[in-house]
Amino acid sequence: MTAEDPAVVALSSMLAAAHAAVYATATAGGVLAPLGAAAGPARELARVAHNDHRTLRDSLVAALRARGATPPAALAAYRLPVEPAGVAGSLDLLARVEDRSAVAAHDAVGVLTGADRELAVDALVAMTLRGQRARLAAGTPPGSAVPALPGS
Amino acid sequence: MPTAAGPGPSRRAFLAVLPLAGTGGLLLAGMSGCTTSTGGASTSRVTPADVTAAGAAHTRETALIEAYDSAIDQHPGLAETLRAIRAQHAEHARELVAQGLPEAATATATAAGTPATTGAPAGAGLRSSPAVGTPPPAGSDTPETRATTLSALAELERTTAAAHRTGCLAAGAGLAPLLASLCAAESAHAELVAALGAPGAAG
Repeated sequence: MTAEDPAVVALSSMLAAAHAAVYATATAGGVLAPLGAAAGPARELARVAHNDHRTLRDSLVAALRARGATPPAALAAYRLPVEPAGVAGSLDLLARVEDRSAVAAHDAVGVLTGADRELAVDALVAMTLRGQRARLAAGTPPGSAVPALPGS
Repeated sequence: MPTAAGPGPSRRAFLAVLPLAGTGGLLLAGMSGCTTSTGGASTSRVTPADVTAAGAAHTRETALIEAYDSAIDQHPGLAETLRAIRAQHAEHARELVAQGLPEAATATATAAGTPATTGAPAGAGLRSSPAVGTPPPAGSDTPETRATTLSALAELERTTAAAHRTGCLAAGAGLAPLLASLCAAESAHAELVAALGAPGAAG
């Protein structure tokens, strides 16, 4: 890399988080898959999160290519912040995935402008909503289901 | 970048490294370091335009705080959750003050139940004017008034989130991440409060 464009760095950071989130949500989905009807709501959260992070990933790849940058590729595997055991562990993982992605999106907002900033803001909102849904599904009291300052 | 002033860098680097294994972790750690250490604009973080925008956002937060105070008074059964959300709005207001707002404009930011000092008609649409002399059925705590209150709170959260988003897109690099955060939090509050008011929701 030559002199790094801060926007490319910010988009790449979001993309790296999206790659990790795609992996983590797929892992959670895999854990939840055989758990029967009781795991249905958590499975749906994992499915939605997986699809959303894939969509975000593709948008970030497009934004980086539009700048002539090379999007960072996904790794073969990621170390998960928590091993998803059962429904509770999977919901915990889903919530943490959103928290981590939110940090990248939050930081990117200050660097990006125009449509790229919109992408980051809207991603941050979506991450916050999904994180809240995962916490509520895990039984977190409503008043504690969302951080006061998502991503910061 | 100026966005990451404060306690950011070390925590961000920590968070960025964790989900990655092997060389990828080093790569991202490097990028994160760049992100947080290129703070070229080390002069004032917030422009005058951003102070104005932060003031407008502060007015919106004050309106929310007042609306929650009113709702907490009216519906004791909802108080626990509503107080937790109100506390987040008070934190939002404090964060906006930290952006460099003049003290005078924000003196009542975190005081409970105090009206806004700014002249804007903040939250005027939400508060029902108490009718003098007649027992106000709107002031009672029934499932119907609860649903009405929660629906109004959800709507105010939604419109506030939209205003924060608009403000974020126009803001400078110092203020934009905070407004993005507030937009996200208010969006989550809107969904939460609307769910509390949905038929069949546990009070």
